[in-house]
Amino acid sequence: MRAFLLFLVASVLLSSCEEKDQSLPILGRHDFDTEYKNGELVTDTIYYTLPDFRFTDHNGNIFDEQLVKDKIYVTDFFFTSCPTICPKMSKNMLQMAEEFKDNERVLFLSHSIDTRHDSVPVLKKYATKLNAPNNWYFVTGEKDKIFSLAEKYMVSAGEDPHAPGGVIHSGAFVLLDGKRRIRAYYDGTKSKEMNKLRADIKTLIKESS
Amino acid sequence: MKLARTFLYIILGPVIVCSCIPSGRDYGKEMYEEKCANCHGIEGDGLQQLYPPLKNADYLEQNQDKLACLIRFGTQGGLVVNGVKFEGKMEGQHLLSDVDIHNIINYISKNINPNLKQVTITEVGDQLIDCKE
Ligand code: HEC
Repeated sequence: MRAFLLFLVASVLLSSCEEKDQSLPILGRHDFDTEYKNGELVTDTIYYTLPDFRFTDHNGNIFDEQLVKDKIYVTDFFFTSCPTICPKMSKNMLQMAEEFKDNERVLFLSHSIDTRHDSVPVLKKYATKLNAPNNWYFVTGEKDKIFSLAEKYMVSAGEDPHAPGGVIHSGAFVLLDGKRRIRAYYDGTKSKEMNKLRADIKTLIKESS
Repeated sequence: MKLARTFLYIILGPVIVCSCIPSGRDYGKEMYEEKCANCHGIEGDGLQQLYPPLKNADYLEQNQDKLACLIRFGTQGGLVVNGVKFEGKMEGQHLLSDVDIHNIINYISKNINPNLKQVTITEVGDQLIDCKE
């Protein structure tokens, strides 16, 4: 009986924190910098941030880290001829991009992992057919650079001759803040997850205003 | 020991009972969701100008007798659905059996596009023999 009560109380307590706590964690392995300042030991956290990058977007413009400076952005890895999960991801990303298209602090970024086939014109055509709003960028570049950046976003992407379409990749959407720090992951193939993503984007907007 | 036995019955009992009741599994639905819904959507709405709809799709309604072949061999080169032009490519689903295709077609005609008629496995078989590919 006592155990049961404890359990009940604990779960009530736990669930109540969940609701109140609106902030998002900063994900990744952080470094700590400890030094003496005025005779006192202080520790600074050096948060895990995405490195610089340089790709080309579907309009043929350079897309590098400068363009995501101070922007909250959602990113994924896909390819235009992907027969499996990508159409669902595109559908969900489209919905989000539409909802935030009037907010210039939020943008959407899809990396092609089939860089041989997904040239700038192919991406342009894809974006046009999808009616993707202007806040959504489709980028291509050197294959190795894209794969290694995927690793930095901590999502899987790589070639696999056995997979449909020849590449294997995760359907994750990654949410980053204006400082290029990873704040959350979503299953981009599930439309229900978009409710959470929407709420979290709003949380980050509030956090940085 | 006795406890363990009772426990086993409790676990096994429902499993056995459940497995005897027809599961109400809808293979057509499962197949559709696995093989078609990624592109055409769970409800068959399609996606913009990338993937055509199946729901209320005039193209499909006019070409129902070609649906079995279209599923097996795919289609490409462009088509017009409800006045919208699609210039994509759909891969064939070569691994699906006649029965699978039959189930998918009937799932679509029952749940997604009621303007289509139900087909028998023989009709599907005949269509598949005559596919031009
Ligand atoms: C990888 C994405 C993809 C998958 C999976 C897929 N299709 Fe398609 N489908 C397409 C595309 C793209 C077209 C348009 C082809 C063109 O432009 O020539 C199409 C066209 C069609 C058409 C004719 C146009 C219309 O909408 O009436 C039908 C019917 C159809 N698909 C049914 C199916 C069925 C049934 C399945 C599952 C067995 C399926 N498709 C799986 C992408 C897909």
